[in-house]
Order: sequence, then C-alpha cells, then structure tokens
Amino acid sequence: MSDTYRIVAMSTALSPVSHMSGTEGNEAILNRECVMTETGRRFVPVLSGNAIRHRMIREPAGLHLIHECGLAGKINKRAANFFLHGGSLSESTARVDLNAKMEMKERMPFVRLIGGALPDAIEEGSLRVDQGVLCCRENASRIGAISGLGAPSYLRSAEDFVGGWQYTRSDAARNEPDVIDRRQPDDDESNLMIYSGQNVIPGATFIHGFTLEHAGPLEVGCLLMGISLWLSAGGHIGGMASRGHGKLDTRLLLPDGIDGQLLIDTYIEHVRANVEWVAAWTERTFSSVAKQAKATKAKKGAINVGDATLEGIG
Amino acid sequence: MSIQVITPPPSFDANAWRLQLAGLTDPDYSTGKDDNRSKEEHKQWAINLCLACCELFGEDLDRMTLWDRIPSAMATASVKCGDGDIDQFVSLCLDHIKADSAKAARNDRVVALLMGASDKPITWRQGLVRYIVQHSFAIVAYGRRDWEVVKNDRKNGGEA
Repeated sequence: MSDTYRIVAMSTALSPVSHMSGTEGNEAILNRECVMTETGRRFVPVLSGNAIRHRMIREPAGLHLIHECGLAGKINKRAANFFLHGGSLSESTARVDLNAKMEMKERMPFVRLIGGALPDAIEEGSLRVDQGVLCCRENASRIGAISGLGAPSYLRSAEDFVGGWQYTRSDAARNEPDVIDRRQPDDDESNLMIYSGQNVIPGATFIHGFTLEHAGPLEVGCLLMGISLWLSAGGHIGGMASRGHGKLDTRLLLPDGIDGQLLIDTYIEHVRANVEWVAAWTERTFSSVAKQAKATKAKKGAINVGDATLEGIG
Repeated sequence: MSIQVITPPPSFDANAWRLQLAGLTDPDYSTGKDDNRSKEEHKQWAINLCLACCELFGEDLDRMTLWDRIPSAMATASVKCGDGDIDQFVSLCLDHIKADSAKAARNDRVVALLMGASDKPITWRQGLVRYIVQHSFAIVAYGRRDWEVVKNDRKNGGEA
C-alpha cells in the first residue's frame, strides 16, 4: 500500500555552515537565494536541496546498502556512482522490462525512494527534498508554511546570521626551512596564503522537509536510517567539514502514527533478506554494461557507448 | 562487520519549534516593520565615538596614526563587547587610543555617548556593537568627514 508522507526537519547549526556558491578572489561566498520581501528583493543564505539529498540520504543509505550486501570492494565505478551519486544514463537505447523493473523496485526500497540513472533507464524516486530555508525575517512567511507550525514575523534579519572566517596557509620555507634541500631546483614563490569566507553562524536554524509521494513504510525506513547514519557520522553539510564547519543538529517532526525505530528495523531486515538478489542485480546491471562498452569501444574505436559520448571523430 | 544499532533521528514538536524561534526573534522589529531607525541611531553613535576619540587621542601617540588607531580600537573592543556592554566598549576604545582619564571624564561627548546608550534596551546595545563590526570602514569615513567639520568650526571660532 502506498501513501504520501510529509516529514518536517529542523536543523540548527552547531558550527559555522560554509555552504558556498563560489569564490571571489580568496573569499568563499555563501550560497544564497533571492527572496521577495515586503521591503524588496533580498539575498538570503540557503542550504540546497541537492546537498541535503546527497549528504543526508543518498550517500549514507547507499553506503549502508553496499556494505550490508557485501558489495564493498567488489563493484565497478558505474555501480558505485549509481548507489552513491545517482549514476548516469550511458546506453543510447532505453530498455523497459516491466517485470524486472517491478522486481528491482520491490527488492530495493533505496531505489524506490531516491531513484537514479541506470545504464539504460532513469528511475524516478518517490522522495522530494526541500531546500533548507533559513529561519529569518525575510523568510518568515515561507517558514510558517513549510513547517506547518507558523512563525513570528519579527525574526532576526538574515544578515544577523551571517559571519565570516579567515584561515592562513603557511609556507614551509618560512616555518620549517631545515627540511628543505635548497640545492634542488624550485621556484621561490611563497606558499603563504590568507583565505577567507562567509558562513552561517552557529545557532542559526534551517527548516526543511521531505515528502515521499506514493511511498511505503520501507522507503520511510530507508530515509530515517539515512538521516540517522548521517547524524551519527557527524551530521555535516557544506564545505570545510575538515575544519569543523557545517555540523548540524537535525530533528524531525514525523507524521502521527509513525514508529521510526520499527520502520528502520523493518528496512534493514528487508535489505538483509535481499542481499543475494541485490548483489546479483548489481553484477547483472553494471558489469555487463561495462564489458559491453569496453568491447564496443575496442571494436569501433571511435564511439564510446559507455559514456554516451563521441570520441575520436575527425 | 560489527552489528550496528541504528536509532531514529531525534524528534521535535510544535512547542520545541516555538521555543527555537523565540530565540531567533528581534525585539527591535516586533512591530514587523523594517524602519531602519536603530541603524541610523547606531551610525550616529559610532560617528560621535570617532569624534570623541579624535579629541582624546593620546598625546604619546603619533596623530598621523589617528585613523588607524580609531578603527582598531573599535574592532578590538567589539570582539569583547558582543554582549552589549557599552560602558566597557567605550572604556576599551579610549584605553586603546591612550586617552587621558581626567580629560575623558570632562569630555561632554564621552558622557553623552555613555548616557545615550545606557537607557537603551540590550538588543539595541548588542545591535550597536554588531553595526560597528559590520560597518567599520563607513564609520571611519563618516567620522573623519565630521571631524574635519569640527576642526574647521574651531578654526573659525565656532563651538563644536
């Protein structure tokens, strides 16, 4: 039986969040979206749905599936990219085998939830991920609607939640000159660099959510498990995690009647019951394509079917 | 592979949501209007602080460094006074420019600065410190402009 589930999430920054849109010179610029407010257009920091989807769900749930099914170290790059990054369509002609497709979806709630590009078909997932909307004055009306719990209009301005950081990359010639053999040819250019960036300050809160359309309890279990694994691995989002940035405290508002623990346990049991099938499916789906692509490339020399790109023409 | 027990993510409810947002509200804007009145007051206060620092700039210091010392005074004081303690903020600034304490006590601008901030709510005072951090270059530019006016007035025998 399928249903539509709506799960609201509240993520509070525990460390500076450096979810960037790019750099200007040596300064990293925060990812922002343009919001229309009563006083005109404002650019407000935002967590992209793409980052949330990957970090909180696809990567942890994909890794779980790989490890649980004993696939770690045994799958090719195509399969790994499918499980962890959504894969890419690589065959020029799509094949639709409805029975096989239905079995895959039944055996792998992970695919049913988050979808992905198989070599010969794109599978749409049931998951719709919201952007992380900063709880600030500019977003007041939106966060009330997203949370379904209302919000006061006199929140602080978005700029009150924006801070900055600055780090220094040092130069070995200056700090540890004794380790360098000066006789060896080298340039005299200094490695010293000051680099800086903007961040959303700790304490700021984002509201976001997950909608599962026509989904079943196994997909909800997969989603909850992914978020749990992500949280237990540190719960980071955005860049500079190696320097402690991007740690979030994420809490969920589950629909009534949902037992999170039961759903997670049921999903894990389901995965364990299908270990052999998933392993065989992975081998069947990705290894044969890789062999075929290699053979075709060797034969034709010019057309790389595997990447769906033309090479060596002219 | 070791057996890992995966527990659900922590949850929140409507009450927790309201408490969370209560900590993110801005009493300055409780009417819902973005009227910029506080920002104007912060700007004028910061400019007046620049003028006070010009008047009390330590005699041991090179006056050529006036507009280096004043922004560095405000920058270092801001870091320590994010809680909105304006008395401490002014003291740290004057200390940084090596002001004479007796002259500072007699300076009308300093007294006006302290009195002007003391009856303001804590959010206004914290906002002032935040404003100074975020507008340091503009404050110095306005401060220098107004200091030139004060000097000219004094040259022409007027009261500044």
